[in-house]
This record gives sequence, structure tokens and C-alpha cells, in this order.
Amino acid sequence: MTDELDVESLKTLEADLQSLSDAKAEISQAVVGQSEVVEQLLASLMCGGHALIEGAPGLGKTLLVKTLAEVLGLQYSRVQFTPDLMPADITGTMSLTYEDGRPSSKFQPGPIFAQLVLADEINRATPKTQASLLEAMQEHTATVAGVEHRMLEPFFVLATQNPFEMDGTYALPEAQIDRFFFKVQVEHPSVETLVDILDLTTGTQQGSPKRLLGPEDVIRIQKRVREVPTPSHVKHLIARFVRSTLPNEPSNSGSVRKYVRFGVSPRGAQALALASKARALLSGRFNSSVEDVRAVLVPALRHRLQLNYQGTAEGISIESLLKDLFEAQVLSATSLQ
Amino acid sequence: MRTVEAVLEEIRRRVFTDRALAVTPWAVAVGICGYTTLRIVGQESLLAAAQAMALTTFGLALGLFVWVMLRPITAKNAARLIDERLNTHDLFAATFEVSPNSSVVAAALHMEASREAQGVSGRDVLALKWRVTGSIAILVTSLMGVVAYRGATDGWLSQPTRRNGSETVAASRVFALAEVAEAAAEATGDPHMAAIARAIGELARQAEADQSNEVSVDERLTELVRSLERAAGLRSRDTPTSSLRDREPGGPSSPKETLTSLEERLGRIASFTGIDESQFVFAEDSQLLFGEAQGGLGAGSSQTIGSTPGEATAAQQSGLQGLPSLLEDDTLTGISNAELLGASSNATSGASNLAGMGSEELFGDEETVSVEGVLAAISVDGTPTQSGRHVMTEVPPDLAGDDRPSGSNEDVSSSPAFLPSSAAHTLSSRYREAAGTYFLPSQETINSRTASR
Repeated sequence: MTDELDVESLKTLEADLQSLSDAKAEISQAVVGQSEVVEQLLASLMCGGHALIEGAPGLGKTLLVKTLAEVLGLQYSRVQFTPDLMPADITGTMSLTYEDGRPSSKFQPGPIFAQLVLADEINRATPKTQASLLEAMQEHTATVAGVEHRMLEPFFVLATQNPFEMDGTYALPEAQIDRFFFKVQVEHPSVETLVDILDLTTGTQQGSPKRLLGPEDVIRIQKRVREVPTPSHVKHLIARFVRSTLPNEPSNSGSVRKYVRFGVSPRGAQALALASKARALLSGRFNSSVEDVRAVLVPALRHRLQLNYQGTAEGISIESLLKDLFEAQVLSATSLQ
Repeated sequence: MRTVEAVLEEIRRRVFTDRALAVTPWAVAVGICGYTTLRIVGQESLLAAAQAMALTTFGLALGLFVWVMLRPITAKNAARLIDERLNTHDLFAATFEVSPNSSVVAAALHMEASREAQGVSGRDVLALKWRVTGSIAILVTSLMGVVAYRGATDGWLSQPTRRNGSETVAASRVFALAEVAEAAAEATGDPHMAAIARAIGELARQAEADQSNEVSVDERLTELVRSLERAAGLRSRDTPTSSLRDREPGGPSSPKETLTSLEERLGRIASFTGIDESQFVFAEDSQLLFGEAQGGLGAGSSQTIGSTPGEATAAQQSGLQGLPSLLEDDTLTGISNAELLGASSNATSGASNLAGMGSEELFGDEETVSVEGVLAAISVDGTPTQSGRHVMTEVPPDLAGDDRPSGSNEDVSSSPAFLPSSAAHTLSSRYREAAGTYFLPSQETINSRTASR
């Protein structure tokens, strides 16, 4: 790598970081009081991962995703999941058309063929439909009538689910939920935030967010994320922490062995390391740190750790358990003094 | 411009210095403890100090070595320390691990680290400080050391000196005692004391020969010192021989004190070298009566140091009663010329032991005669000198009462005028039981004295 290229690349890198920072600020202006959620979604997108957004109705989940698509300049589509939704309704279908009076079949792409897909209330669809979406999420392809079709890049699925209305829903199986990079929890806004929301949304002027990035920028940033170095002690910390969540490990804490059904998988460890890199870039730094891992710990792993019946019955908080286990590993990390 | 490597190196040095500061007080405390222990077990102060310094150095080196083994001071660890202390989000640790040429992000990372390195102060990362716990450790152990040193100096800690559980006395000290005893033996013409002095001197020479320079306070030395005490009149013959280490009521508390007391006594005796033996009158409990030499019997003045002269003289009388019939040596004069050298009031038990036993050696080579009913024993020097002969008497208990043969000072016609005259039977029973050591001058001595008068 020559010096000239270095300088050029560094300029691009700095410009990307500035764009990310601006994008974050732009989205946060539209979606008031959810800066943490915005950051988590951006991190997820920077890592090329899909996110599962969970929150009560009316918290601005759809607005958030739409704003994200607009600011990042991504092609947006929305699928409202219902029990009668069929896989073809998502992936698309072969339709019979007449060209020059001759009938011919033509692939009609479904809503999944977009760069940012909002799968609203994903748990309302049947497992078969869910599976078609999850296949597309995993492979970035959709097979229709024996023909494989590639998705547009970058490709993100932001699925939402309502944690309250569980009647007539189909909970995502653990194997499929593990494919989501982040599970983002949207909380109720505070009083001050709520006042800001009222001011912003009930007046006569409603601004639209500006596009600050494009699909190419996003793809480049995704590559940059993978270049961010992680110090070896941080990697060791992640590895020790992930091992500490396994209930079958005799040396692990009593609470893990008592309340945990499934521990964090290696995919979870990958998500943790990658997300920490994205978070570092979002913070304007060029290396991930323990602090970054701590910040992305809960959204990256809360859906990858399963409590057993006793843990659920006793109301054990997965978030608290994850934080406690992580801090225990941080404390045991060696230091000079 | 400071590079990241330079900053890491500086932090490494500071970490090492900080560890040395942390370990030093504990090493010093160990050294002081070692010194204290060495002083207690009786090491010479210089040797103990040298060993303590060596122990301190060793403790410091060992402490640092173990610490470095457990927590290596690598550049990577120094980088982590900077990140922890300056909250730089693992910037230096990450920089240390990646090459700036590996990616654009890595290059940017190195530039960021270089920028940060300019503001890194070693003091901010690791302020060198003296630990309070170390100071307390030094203070406590120093107090212990001072107490031990004072104890060793003042004698209450290291005296008697102990090594391997046994007490020792410096060879030089024993030599000094032997020399003083020899001088005293020469002054008194006592061959027995001279023999003891030679034996003690031999012990000291052996100690010097084996380079230990210390004489063990064993049975041999104890016996010799006791014999010397007896010869010097500090102890009666029948006092049980106990170890020098054993404290006796009212007696010296240690072998060294015993030796000191003995040296003083012998020194006093030796200081009268050239003065006629007739001038010495030893009494019990180191009470000394002596007459200043005036050239002959009865011509001189007396000086009472201990008990009253009358008591001592009476003691003399009680032992003299049976002498005339026993001393038939031509060279000796009559018993009336006998001069009291020393008298013991606690000779009763010894006399009792001697009564009816025929003869018993009293002072090594000396000839002992026992005459039942008159005197328990009369010890006659086997090698009379020209000036006279030593005679020792023991009075049996049955003669210690009122019916014993009585005598008075008048019986000794040539008794020194300074000796008070009193009948033995008028004295308390204590002195009537007394045994005595007498000097029986030869006729030649008497003649020379008379002539000089």
C-alpha cells in the first residue's frame, strides 16, 4: 500500500466516519429519544446483519426503519406478516404474461427483493413463510420455481414483533432466531422525549430526513468494519465470556447451570466481536475495546441465550445475567497492577 | 516526537521501579527480622549486619523476580496499563498488535495512537509512590530491631550468648580470667590455683585453635571456675558444684557475671603481689580482712573490708586448737604463729562430711589429715615454701557447740596486734563452726620479720 493510496483511503475512511455520524444524528432527529436503538440498528447494518426489533405498538418501529432506509439511500419495502401470508407473497412468483400475443412466464419479484425489508410482526406468519424469509436472510437468495434469484446488496431485514399479543402467533424457533444479528428492544420514551415527539409530529411542519449515504457507501463501510482490529485480550474476553454462558460447563457459575437452557453459540461470539468493531467505528475509533463489547453485549446476545423453565418461572432477566457474567470475566482479566 | 514504542518503554521502566518501591520495604523488613534473629542467636553485630544486608538484597531480588514471573512487564502489558489508566479504549493495546500496513483502518489506528502518545505522561499512567503498608512494616521491624540491638548490647537479650542451644563465653574472656588467676596464684603462692589457671588457659587456647573463639560453658569450665572460686575463697568446698548457667540465689546471674566477679576477686588478690601472705585474711562472702605489711607479726594496722575483725579472728581460734600435735615438720613453727588467711562460716556441712572419713583430698595435691574429735581435717601443703605452709581446718559439727575446745586470742602469742582478742566460746555459734585456712610461717620467716622489726 503506497503512501498516496494511504492518504486517499484515509480521507475516504474519515469521510465515511463523518457520514455515519451525520446519519446517526439525522435518524435521531426523526426518531426522537431512541438514539441507542438507532446506534444498534446502524451497527447491525454495518455488520451486514439483520435485526429483530421488539417493542409495543406505536413506539415508532416502522418510522425508524423507513427513516433508516431514506438516510442510507436504500431501497425499502415492507411486508406485513399475517397468518395467511404465503412464501410466494414474500419471495415473488412466476406470472403468465403475453408478449407479442404469446404467453410466457415471467418472474415477479416479491417485496423481499429490496435492500431494506421491514418484516412487520414476523411472528404472525406461519413457520413456512417465516422459513422462506429466513432462507433469504441467510443466503441472500430466493428460489422460485427452481430458479435462484439473488437479492439486492446490501440486503437487510428488519423484523418486528409484538411481545404482548401472542395469541395466534408462531414464535420463531431458536435456530431461526439465532440468525438475527441483533435483537433490539424499543422502550417507551421518557416524558421529555414524549414532549419532543408531540412537538415534532403534531405540528404543521414535518421534515423529511435527508439521504446521506448510498448503497455503495454502506457496502464499503461494511468492509471497513471488518478491518477494525480487536486486541487479543478483548478476543480472549469474548471467548471466556461465551464459554461462561454454557450450562453444561461444571466450572461455570451456579446461576448459569441452574437457569440457562442454551448458552451462547459461536455465532453469538462472532456477532459480539463484529458488533464491537462497528460500534467502535460509529464512535469514531479504529479499534474495538472492552467498552464496545460491553455496549453491544445485550442486543447481540439476548436472543441467543435461552432460559430453562426454572429461569423463566423465577423471572430471571437474561439481560442482567449476561451483564453479570461479562463483568465477572472483565474482573478476572489479568492486568499489570 | 515520541513514538508509541518510546512511551511503552517508559511505562515499563516505571512499572519496574514501582514494583521495586513496593518490594523494597518488605525486603528491608525481612532484613531487619533476619538481623534481629541473628543478634538473638548471638551473631557478632558486623556479621549479622552483613547477613541482614545480603538477606535484604536477596529478598528484593526474589520479590521482583516472582512478581515479574507472575505479571510480566511486557510492552503489551504496558500498553494495556496505559489504556486502563488513561481510558483510551484499548487504543495502545490494539496498536501494539497490528501493523500499520495491514489496512487503512490499522494505519489510521497507528496515527491515532501516535497522536495520543504525545500527551501520555508516565506520572499519569503510574505515579510512583511509597506504600503505607511497607512503611508500617519497616517501622514495626525497625522497632523490633532496635529492641533486639539494645537487648544484645545491654546484655539482657544475648547474654549469655547462645549457639545451638548451648552457652558460650568468649575465649578472650576466659584467657583474661586465666591470666588474672595465674597472677593471683603467683601472689599467694598457691599451686592449686596456678594449676586451675593453667587448665582454664588451656581451654581458651583450644577455643582459639579451633577458631571458634568461644568456650562452651560446659561441665569442664564450670568445675574449673568453681574450683577457682573455692581457691579464691569465694565458695566453700562443700557447696554443691552447679553449672555456671544455673542461677543461685544472691549469686551472679550468668556465667559472664560469675567470671567478672571472679576476675575482680582474683585481681584484688593479684594486686597484692609482693605483699606477705600473712596480710590476707579472707572471710565468708568475699569479706576480706587484711593487714598492711609492717614487716612482721603483730606489727601493722588492720583494715576491715567485710565482717568485723573479731569474728574472723574467732574463727581462726576455733580451728587452731588441735594443730600443735599434728604439725611436726621441723621447718614449721608452733601453732602460736599461725595466721588466719580465711575463715568460712558455712563449713559445717563440709566438716560433717569429712568427719570420720579418714582423709579426703581438699585441694588437689595437698595432703589431708583428719583427726576425729579434734578437727575434722587439717590440710597441710605438701610442698612447704621457705616462708611457711598453708594449713586448712574443718571443724566437725559436734565440736561446734559450747563444749568444743575453746581458745582465745591470747593463745596465739604472736598474734598480730591489730587482730582483736576474743575467746572463741564467746562468739556466736556461727563462727564457732567456722573452718579456717591458715598460714603457718616458718621459723625463718619469723626470724626475718623479727629482724626487720
